[in-house]
Amino acid sequence: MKIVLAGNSVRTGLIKSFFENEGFEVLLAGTPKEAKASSDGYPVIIVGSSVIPGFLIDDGYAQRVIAGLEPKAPAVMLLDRETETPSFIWDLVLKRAVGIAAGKRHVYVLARSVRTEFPGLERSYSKARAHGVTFIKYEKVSVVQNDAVSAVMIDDGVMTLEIETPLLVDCAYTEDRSVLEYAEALRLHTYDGGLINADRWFLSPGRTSRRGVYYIDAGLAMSAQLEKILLSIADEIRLMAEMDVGPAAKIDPRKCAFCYTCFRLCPHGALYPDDSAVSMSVRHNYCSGCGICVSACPANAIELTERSEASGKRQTDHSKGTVAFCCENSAAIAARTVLPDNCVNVIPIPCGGSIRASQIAAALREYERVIVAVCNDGACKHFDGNKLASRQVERIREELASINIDPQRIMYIQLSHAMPNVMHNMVDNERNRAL
Amino acid sequence: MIVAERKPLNDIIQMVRPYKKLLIAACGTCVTVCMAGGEKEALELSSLLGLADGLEDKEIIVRTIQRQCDREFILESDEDIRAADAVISMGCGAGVQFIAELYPSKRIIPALNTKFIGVNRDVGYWTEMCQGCGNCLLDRTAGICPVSRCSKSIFNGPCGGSSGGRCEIDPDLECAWQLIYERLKVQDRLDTLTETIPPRDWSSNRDGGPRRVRKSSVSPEVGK
Amino acid sequence: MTDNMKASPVTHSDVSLEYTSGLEREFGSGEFVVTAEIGPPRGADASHVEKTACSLRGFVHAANVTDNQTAIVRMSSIAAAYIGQTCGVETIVQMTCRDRNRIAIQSDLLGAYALGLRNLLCLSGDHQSFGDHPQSKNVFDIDSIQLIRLAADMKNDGVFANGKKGKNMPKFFIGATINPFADPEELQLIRLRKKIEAGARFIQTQAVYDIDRFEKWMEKVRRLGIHKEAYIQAGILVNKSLRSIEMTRKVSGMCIPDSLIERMRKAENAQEEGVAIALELIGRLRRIEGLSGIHIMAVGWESIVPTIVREAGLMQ
Repeated sequence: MKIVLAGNSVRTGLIKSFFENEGFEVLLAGTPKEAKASSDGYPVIIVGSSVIPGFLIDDGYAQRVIAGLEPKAPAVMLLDRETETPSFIWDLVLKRAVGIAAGKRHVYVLARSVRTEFPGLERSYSKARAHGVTFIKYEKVSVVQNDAVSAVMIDDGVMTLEIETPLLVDCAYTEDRSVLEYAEALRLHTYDGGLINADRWFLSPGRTSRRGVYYIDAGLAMSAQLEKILLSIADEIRLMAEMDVGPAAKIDPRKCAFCYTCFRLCPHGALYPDDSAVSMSVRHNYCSGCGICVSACPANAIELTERSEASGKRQTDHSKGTVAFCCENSAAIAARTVLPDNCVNVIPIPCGGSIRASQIAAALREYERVIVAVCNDGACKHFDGNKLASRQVERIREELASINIDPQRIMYIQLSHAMPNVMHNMVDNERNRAL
Repeated sequence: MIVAERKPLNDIIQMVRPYKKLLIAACGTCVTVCMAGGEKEALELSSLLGLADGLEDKEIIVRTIQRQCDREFILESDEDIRAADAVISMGCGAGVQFIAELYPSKRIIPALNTKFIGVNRDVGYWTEMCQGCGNCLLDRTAGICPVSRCSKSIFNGPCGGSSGGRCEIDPDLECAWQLIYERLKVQDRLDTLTETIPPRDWSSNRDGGPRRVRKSSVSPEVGK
Repeated sequence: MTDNMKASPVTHSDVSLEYTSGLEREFGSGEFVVTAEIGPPRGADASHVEKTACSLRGFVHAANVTDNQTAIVRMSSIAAAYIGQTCGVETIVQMTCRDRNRIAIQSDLLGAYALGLRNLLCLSGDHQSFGDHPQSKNVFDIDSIQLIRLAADMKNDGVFANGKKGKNMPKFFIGATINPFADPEELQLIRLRKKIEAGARFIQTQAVYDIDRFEKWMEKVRRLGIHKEAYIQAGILVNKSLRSIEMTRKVSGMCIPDSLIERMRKAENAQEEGVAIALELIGRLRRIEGLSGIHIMAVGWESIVPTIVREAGLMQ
């Protein structure tokens, strides 16, 4: 099986060996252009090399340093000095802080702001606090070096504090900017200087916004994390190869006006211009059947095939009243726990972004009320699907208002699969209104 | 390409009220790409009309004509056009007129306002680039058209209202002459600006009357 | 004032084709020229124009008559300029390119000259979206520089815009406007030269509040020798209230130092302060080398012009 390793990290060799040992044939792509060309059909692993302080990732080295310190002397870990510290570095910092504090040492973690998006980070903070780690949010900080001791002056905007410490860890992290060039070439979603994970429910390191495209930060090479990540990627690649997945989105080349709208909006980079068919085509490996392209296509040239079986069919069928278009990743699941005995008809959709204004308008001819229920901001599996839904709803409301139809006949709610109460309240209101 | 925008719903409703059987004719080319009159918009219009007060009894069907500026495509929907009381064309002004010409006794209703010849800057965003003046001088202005992109079509610009690179009539509008100046600077051709461009011959524009273009190598001698 | 400017009314029958611009003569004599503005009324009453013109007589060398300024319909500038001139004030006809094609422009120029008008200020004109008829078609058949050239060709070669010779062609003293603070500066200077090359012989600037900045601009102008090719007048706007100066600031391309706004804000009598500021600005402007005069814009407050002229010691 072929995979593509992209990037020019010094660790590429190490990672190449790993995959060869796992039985893959590894092709190298040294430039973003090569990566783009070779990504057609093969899984791609982008290897970046950010510079992470050894103290944070090399356990052995860290132990030696700590052992050599005066007992009881405090330690200071300094973050955000030049740039904001990303979540995964916070993860390393907190683990190390606990390690230092376990030696009955006072640890101060200085930062401008606190990050929490990384999985398990909240727990890590609590654990650190329990071990006596103090977090200080600063506005200005200055350091004066006196031999082996650093005098750290902290100004939090209200008062100043000075700490003397023999262990000042500068947790500055230098990210590999070349990774962003690869991200652009492979049309990956990026945010906050990092590559976003594909499946927001299961935020696992290594995944990116595109299926079959992975990202490894070789700066983590010295930590145990790396091998775990590589193994999980290898497993997933093998699994994907074994799955026989037909295309979820299908394009009618006779209708396609080749306007590139679906290409631009597809969150998974699954669409590509096919010269031989003179229309846009779908790479079935990458298509997740979200239906955003279906909604976006101005020529109505795309449809979802049977892979997303649940979509489009009504789960329950009560006459008149209310219909709810529910995102199958959140609302549809929540609906199952509350709705069987209610007067709301549920239509699951693969993603909020797949809803079309014409669907809503058509539904209004049959039902008194239409609910569009999608995921919370930041939780959409397809990134901005919920926002696309919101804009469609806004637009159709404006059209309705212009012909004197109550725009509030369409309700828009956001919830997660674990928030059935939102659904419940909405439905209760509907029931009371119907009475 | 041609960029258009759908008329407000109420305007369309007023025009279709007297008719029972309606055919909404989408156009599969320019207006599909600019998201104004493609099949998706036509289906949407159909649903919205169905919701409007007093239009519930109308029979509305939707058909997509690949291009409303070529006769053969229109004729593919001949049966449906004949069967309808009125045709709502979602094509540009040319398309609407062409259908009307082929079916002179049929009421053809324009659903769009045709705006300009322009380009797609981003998803859902188009800007005017060309006005079809018939006498292109883009080489003199570094590829930026003063006729279509300067609010006053000035040939020796900018005017005194250009400020911060913006046009006086709209701060979101870039001053075309500022753009021309910047680009000429990049190309090291600022001396072009010291030459005064003389008054334009507007007869090549629509000012000279409705225009025709004939490709003599293939066009029939006399003809439609 | 020279003797060409009669204190008694001047009608078209008093004026021959040989009568030339008094304003041009004033500039030529080295006099520090003072001009002001007459805004025509939004109606057909000639007496409004007569009153304003009469109040300016003796206090200015000439007065601009605006042409549907800010695209709001007003009495035709040619008609109003003629009326003004019959009151003994030489007028400067302002002509924009927004409302007329070249046929109408040439026709109007012939008519204006026949009526005895001798000075022409060529402008692009504010876009119609600013005015009270934003639905109108915008003409802009030619732009302001092409207009200057058109008028200059009539004067110098006796030809119409199509190159054909005419009879008794008008020989206007042609002017243009410039905004010294518009950006990019390089481009604006290129335009200024183009206007002069096309035939502009006097230039009125946009209202100046920042003298330091204006002085720097005049330095560049002098270095390029422009002040020798055309007479430059600095524009002065007299504000009568804080609101007025704040509104002025909003106009694009205006450069007003904060200190002046503060003075208007803190002043006990805003009108007096507005006049004081204008007098200070005039005082400094008079000393700038290469400046041939000033143009006083007291829109909606034409009555203050005589006071300003007197207190600034102009027109002695």
